[in-house]
Amino acid sequence: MIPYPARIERTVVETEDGLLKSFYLRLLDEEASREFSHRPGQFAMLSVLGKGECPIGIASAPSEKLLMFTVFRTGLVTDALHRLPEGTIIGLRGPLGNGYPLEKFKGKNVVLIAGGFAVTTLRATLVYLLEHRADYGEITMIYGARNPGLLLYKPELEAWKKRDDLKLYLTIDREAPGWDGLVGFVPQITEQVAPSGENAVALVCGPPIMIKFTLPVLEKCGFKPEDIYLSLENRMRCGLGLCHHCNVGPFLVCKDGPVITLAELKKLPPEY
Amino acid sequence: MFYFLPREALKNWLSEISKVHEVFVPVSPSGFGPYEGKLYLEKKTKLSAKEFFLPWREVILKFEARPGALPSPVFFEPVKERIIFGVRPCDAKGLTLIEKVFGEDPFFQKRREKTILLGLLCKEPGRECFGWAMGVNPFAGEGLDALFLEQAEGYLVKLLSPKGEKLFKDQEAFEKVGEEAQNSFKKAEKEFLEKHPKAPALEKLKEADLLKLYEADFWEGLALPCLNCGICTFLCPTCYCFDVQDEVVGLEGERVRLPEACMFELYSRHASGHNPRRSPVARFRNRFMHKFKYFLDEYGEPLCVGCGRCNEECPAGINLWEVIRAMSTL
Repeated sequence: MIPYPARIERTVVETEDGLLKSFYLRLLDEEASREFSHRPGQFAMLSVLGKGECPIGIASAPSEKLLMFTVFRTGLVTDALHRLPEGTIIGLRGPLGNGYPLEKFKGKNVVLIAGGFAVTTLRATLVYLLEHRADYGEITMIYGARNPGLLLYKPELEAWKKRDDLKLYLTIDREAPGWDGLVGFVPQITEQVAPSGENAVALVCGPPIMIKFTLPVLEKCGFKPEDIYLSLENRMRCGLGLCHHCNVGPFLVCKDGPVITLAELKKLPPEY
Repeated sequence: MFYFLPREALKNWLSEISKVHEVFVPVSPSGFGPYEGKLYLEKKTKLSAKEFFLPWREVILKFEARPGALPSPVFFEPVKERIIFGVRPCDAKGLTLIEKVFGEDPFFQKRREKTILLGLLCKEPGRECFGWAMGVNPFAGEGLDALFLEQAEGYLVKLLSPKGEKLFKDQEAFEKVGEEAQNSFKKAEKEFLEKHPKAPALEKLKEADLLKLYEADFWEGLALPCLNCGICTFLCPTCYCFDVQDEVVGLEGERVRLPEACMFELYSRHASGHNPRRSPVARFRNRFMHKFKYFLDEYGEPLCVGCGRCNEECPAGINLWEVIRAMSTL
């Protein structure tokens, strides 16, 4: 697959430490731009010619005009991306991966649990769910960050707080000046909120330690492993299921994932 | 359809077809090269014909090295149709296994379409060969367009595909032969298959439980001598993992596909430093689980053709059969 040229229309530094930046991209080719259609949960390979490619989850919902990616500055390619000014043209290959099976969630309650900057694809999912609000039951979102400065999408969080068709719980790890919201790790807050697993699905994205402690809480609340959705990450190269870098046992994260239910994950060797 | 080529006529024929096609033959025990008179047919070569389809360095994009440059795609197009003569049946079978994954990759496809593979049956199995145990029937010639069987007076040639039929239609050096020759081929095949059956290990592997195999305690002992050098993946006719790198010299850049080995630590290391397969044992285990469990489960055949090159060249003396035995007798 050849990367499509895409222009960086806008960049927004999301966090206080400057390590997370959102890129709003527009595909140069108008037809490709119109035909690009993705599902929340899918990712794309962002390509900086001369440096390489990296897989980033698509944080914008399918209906939004510009494709949005929130990138953490951590390696060769992400570092190069962060240094590019608005207006630069980069490459994009996508959408790749399987995305969340949203049709299966219709009529059910949806619980989104996000820790840190793993909230990106859950933002895409939430925007989609809110656009099709009537198709779904109760929507609950629990989103935690280490401190208030590290919360992403702050203006949108303010808007979502005011909605009455969404239960939003924001939390930070430790007390911080100026914060009068919830304080506690995501698993603890999930336990307090105790969403019922009855006719519900849970979408969990976050660092391994958070997932490790959140899963038992969900089990206690009655969620079945087939109804808990996780999103895997791994080192990738081709993103097409050919080069085999991203395998977790027989499962290729780029082709068979990144979305996987807990039931399926339990059948895989624990190498992630 | 069967043809016969007298022994003395082989080199002339290769010279003749070199005028119209690009012809590659085994030139030395190391590997293949363009036909220029030298021919090495005693045993299989160290390098299989894999590099003709998954080359060591495949350029997939060209670009100017400045921010915002647009890439130009590169598609390799062999100029003339290529003929590769002297391919061993195990290597050709390896190609069909790789094709199951790379069937839709445009680079692999273009090379495959423009190549004619002429196989040569081995006179006897090599010291480390065990292709039949992996389910490879050399006489079936999977992946080949024609198969040469060396006999007393010359070569008996069995056509296996439309490409093969087209090539041999007007070759004067070859004479059509009748039923007696076909029967001698079938007899040789029958004798071979009786003496060399498929290993029961494969069925046991299909039934084995994936997680139990993964957590077994024999991996540590088997993997201890492994240096993670990657020679096995380099020589293996079925290993296909590749790396993608951007190479820039001055203002010119190329994005290339390069060979990669799952035995290297960098293979699965995340940018954060986290590595799901940090230990050498984990990487050793992953390679064999892929070949003899994940691939076997998905496609019904192991990702191995029993050529034995890994056994011959492993600097640590690791023998594949010990791994297969441990995995199948769990």
